[in-house]
Amino acid sequence: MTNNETNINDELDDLKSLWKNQKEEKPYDSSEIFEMIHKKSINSVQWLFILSIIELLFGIIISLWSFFSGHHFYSEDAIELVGKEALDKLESFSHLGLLGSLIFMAIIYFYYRKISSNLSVKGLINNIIRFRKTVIWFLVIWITLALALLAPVYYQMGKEAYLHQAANQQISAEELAKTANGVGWGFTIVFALIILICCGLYYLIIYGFFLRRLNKNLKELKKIEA
Amino acid sequence: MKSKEAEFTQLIESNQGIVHKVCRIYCDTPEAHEDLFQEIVLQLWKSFGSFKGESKFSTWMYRVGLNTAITLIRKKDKTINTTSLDNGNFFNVKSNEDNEEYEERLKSLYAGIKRLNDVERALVLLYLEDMPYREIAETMGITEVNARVKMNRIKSRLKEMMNPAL
Repeated sequence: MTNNETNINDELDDLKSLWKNQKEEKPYDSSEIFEMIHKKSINSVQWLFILSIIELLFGIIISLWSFFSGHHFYSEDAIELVGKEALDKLESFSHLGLLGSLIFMAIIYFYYRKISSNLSVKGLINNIIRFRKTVIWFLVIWITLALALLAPVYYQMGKEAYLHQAANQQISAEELAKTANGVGWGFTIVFALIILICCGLYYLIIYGFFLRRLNKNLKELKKIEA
Repeated sequence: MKSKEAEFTQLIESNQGIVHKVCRIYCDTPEAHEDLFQEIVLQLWKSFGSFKGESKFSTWMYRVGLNTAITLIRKKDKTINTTSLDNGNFFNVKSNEDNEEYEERLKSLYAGIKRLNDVERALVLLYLEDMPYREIAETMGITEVNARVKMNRIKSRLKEMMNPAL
């Protein structure tokens, strides 16, 4: 050990006695501690779990409501433009998604149960991040599938809406088909962008709020191990 | 009061210094300190059933306390970016020794600790509490060798911060 290291250790060892001699200004008595353990409190991890369940339940409830009430997500105009058969098929897919969501809820509950204050700091942060990543992956898959299923419908809607409007115009059939194709793609892109921006903003806020600090601390712990 | 609750409150009452120290290194206001104290006590109570006595009660308290402090979203999470004691918020920092110099050094130590990140603060706290490196490593979830290496680096940084003239 170098002289410099010895000095540092001596100084900090001296600080240990200083540290242990701290005085508590306001020690709590047992009745105050008793009150504390009966307070209702939702911590960050519980909020993450609640949010994840709300995100999943949102889709499930809408799907169930549509299934049992017979209400459809699409309007009469959409039926006219795209056709009832195609839209019914689309809705059946969304009901199938229900089963997937329920299985997924069981998986995230399993990961949530693994989050415990008794773990090491690194173990706890790892488990929280793994839990949230599982939820994010599910949502990414769900959004991708929704976009893939809905994109042809929106393309058709945009195309048919243009053809409907341009029916009386003096345009060649070739040009009409070309423009209708462009409008269809435009509709699809705008729809996909709106969905992606809304989801992106939502998760940016959630990530920024809940996970930024955890990710930073995990990175710091990994740096120590590097 | 039920017997388990009575046992728990008694244990916390006599070991509350640990929770106060965790709160003091992570909080800058008395309100934040009080909030974190309550949250740590609540988490300790929720985990009390799974405490099997495999480690010391105090070691378990540090683990739950640090886990709560590090994962909790705090309302006012302002880190002090200066070693100047005038700018630091060192409420409730008092030494048992009735000595002004002692108290100033304690405040200077807190000023240094508050310039470290969350993980480094946890390491310093466990070190100052004289916890063996094996237990520090277990609590943090890192290897003992890495805990030692990191702690030596933190010691040098703390020394620099506490004695900027050197």
